[in-house]
Amino acid sequence: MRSPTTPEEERQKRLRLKSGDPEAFAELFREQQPGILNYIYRLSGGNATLAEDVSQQVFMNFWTHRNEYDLDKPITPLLLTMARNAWLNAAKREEYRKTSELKEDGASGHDRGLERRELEKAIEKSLAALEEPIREVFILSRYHEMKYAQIAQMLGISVKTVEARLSRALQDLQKLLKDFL
Amino acid sequence: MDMDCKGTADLTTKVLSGNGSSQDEAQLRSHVASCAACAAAERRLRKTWELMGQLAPVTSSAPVPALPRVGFFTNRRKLVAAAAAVLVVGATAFALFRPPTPAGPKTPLAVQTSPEESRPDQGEEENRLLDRVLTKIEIEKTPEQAAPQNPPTPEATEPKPVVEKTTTPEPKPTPVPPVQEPKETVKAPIPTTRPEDKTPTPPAPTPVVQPALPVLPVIAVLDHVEGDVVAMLAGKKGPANAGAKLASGDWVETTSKTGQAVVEFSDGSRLVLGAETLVEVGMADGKRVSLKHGALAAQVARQPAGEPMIFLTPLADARVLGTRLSLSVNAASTRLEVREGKVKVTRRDDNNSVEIGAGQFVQVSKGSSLTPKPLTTVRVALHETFDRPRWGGAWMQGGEANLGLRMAGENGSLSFKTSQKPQADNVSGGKMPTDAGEIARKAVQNASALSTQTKKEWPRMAWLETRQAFPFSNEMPLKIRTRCWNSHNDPDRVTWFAINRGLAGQGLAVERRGGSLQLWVEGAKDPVWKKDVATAQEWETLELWISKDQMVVRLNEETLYTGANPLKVKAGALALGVNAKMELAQDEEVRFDDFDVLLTTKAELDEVAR
Repeated sequence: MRSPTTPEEERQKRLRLKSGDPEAFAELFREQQPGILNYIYRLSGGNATLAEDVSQQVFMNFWTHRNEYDLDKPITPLLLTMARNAWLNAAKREEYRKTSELKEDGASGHDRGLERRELEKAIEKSLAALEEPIREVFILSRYHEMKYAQIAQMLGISVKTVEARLSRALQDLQKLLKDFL
Repeated sequence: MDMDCKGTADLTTKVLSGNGSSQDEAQLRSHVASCAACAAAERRLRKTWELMGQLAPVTSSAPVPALPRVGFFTNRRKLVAAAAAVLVVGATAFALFRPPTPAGPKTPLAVQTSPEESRPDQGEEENRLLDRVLTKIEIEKTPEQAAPQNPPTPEATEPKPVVEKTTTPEPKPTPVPPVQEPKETVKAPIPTTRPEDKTPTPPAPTPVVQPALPVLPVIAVLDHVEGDVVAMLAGKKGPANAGAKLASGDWVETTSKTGQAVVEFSDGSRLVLGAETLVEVGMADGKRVSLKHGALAAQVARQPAGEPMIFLTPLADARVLGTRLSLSVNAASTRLEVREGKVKVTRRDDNNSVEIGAGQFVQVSKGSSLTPKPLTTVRVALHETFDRPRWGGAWMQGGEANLGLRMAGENGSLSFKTSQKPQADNVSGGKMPTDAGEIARKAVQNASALSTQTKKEWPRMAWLETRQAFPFSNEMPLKIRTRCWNSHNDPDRVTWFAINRGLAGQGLAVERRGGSLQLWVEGAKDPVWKKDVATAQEWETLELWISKDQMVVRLNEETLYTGANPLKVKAGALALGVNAKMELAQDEEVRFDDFDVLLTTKAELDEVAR
């Protein structure tokens, strides 16, 4: 996606992963963890504890089962899928639900423009306000740069559905953000 | 309508999310060009998509999980690598959530390899891998190399020192304590760590960051970022995000025509950077803002006595104690406009100075008189010089581009040119199918001798349309101005510019037809106004002024027409789109140079209307 690595370097990385190189794992973690963390954070409507737990769990699972995965395929969608499944499991448990609300950040930002903070808040809120299936598609497309087909495959839905949901998401967001447009 | 309006949202989403084909894009463009409602809808969706890109990422304090394996960090070098490598975590997290920038500048990384690493070690694969990790981390900071050619301000001319990442103590918790093993001495106390890039949004538990080296005090914050914005922060250049903290010597540049950035100082003073603008901030007995190129607007809070905020430009300095102003520079001059308060301007080469009061401006260039003049133009809404082929961002284009008509930025102007003969592949189909394009395609297919085609049978049309809309009122009329040149003075039709094209009764076009200048309302049979003007084949400046009640057409600074606003919808809230459009026969060319949309004042409109 964003890394300027060549396919050959990517392949080397996967080989090292498969052979159990902890350095390769650390590298993978550093590269991918922020993405996974943010994905779960957004997916769950802003639950940081859950996001932290799930992302840790995903990487440990990945490490344990690294030999079972087809490492010729890109890793990001795989990790995202794992994260999604882990989240679905975790979300069933009650304790996470309780904390699932957007938290105010009290600490920093007092020196920042009021308008700006309002905008940031509005962006967060509007994303969290989307219905879950729609939000999921939007997150994958907007923040993980996944194509319709990739999203469809990952979520097990049709491309048409992805297309419709993303369009719906953008239109809903537009309404939610109308004061800022 | 060649497309159902209902499909616009889906199609727009598809294109925005990078799932659209070039055909989809073309279809969308051609539709929104002819349908104002959909154009507005498309704009709103695009804005929404862009806004959502500003979503602040959450960051995590989580260390790399310890793996169930002995000897994870067995030797010392590994330890250093692991400790230092965690440094990049924050940066990666940030990069991920940046909206994709097509030609986004990359952070310059100069890889430095220490002699220790090049030593022929055991030669194991593992060690080579390790070296790779190490070299990735040892970032040599080379601000001078990465900086644009503009010289930095005097207070920042000394080259920034090289600092090794590996010598910086670890700011984040790691499974193991970092090993202090400096390979090279730190040459100056410029720290590599600064509390930047920590977005405040996430509620994630943040560890106490304890940079051991002194950190330059943060004097301002990048409060808002739009479009392509690059910043040099502590000697490290990279794409800038809102919330980035600026210390003395840091700079911010808006690199595209649509870029914008807002810098806010800790006392609330704000700088709004226009497109293609580079500003360096500093602190020395007061705030220093060095405008290298471009334009900015500033709202300056009351400054402490004896510590004025000073704006430095290549030609002049401006000292302020609290005001609202805007400042723009190019190679030859500096223009300062003052809205509130007073600003003292000093020309650098002769030390002449003048005080500019509220509602006045001064243009400083070499040897010019430093007399303040009253402000007329309120704001430049669009300024396009076509001096490089970068107008794609602020403009939408269309027309028979594949059918023998070429639109290109060259020699500092925008050229529309019909070719002598269409290329072979033009026959296969136009990118933007329109009626005119259809006629042209048939004409090409049937033509045995192209030269016999008359221009009437083979029209060419292309347009460039701003993506923006420009509101106007009686109090704040619009002044639309362009410089243009026409190779043939074709009496058949050349449109210099058009407004709200395609809307009957609401669209307007200023056309040059050979030796005649005409004003047309869309859908009308006759022009509102026409006047014979000389057909000299030289660059001419054409202006259209429009307020709710009035309209003025000027050619080469001379008012030719004054009349009532002939548009059907002329409420104060009416927004304008601006077009540059023409129809040409074979082997003709029209060029546009500057294209400006200015928000002006009633007084000035009355002045030119007389």
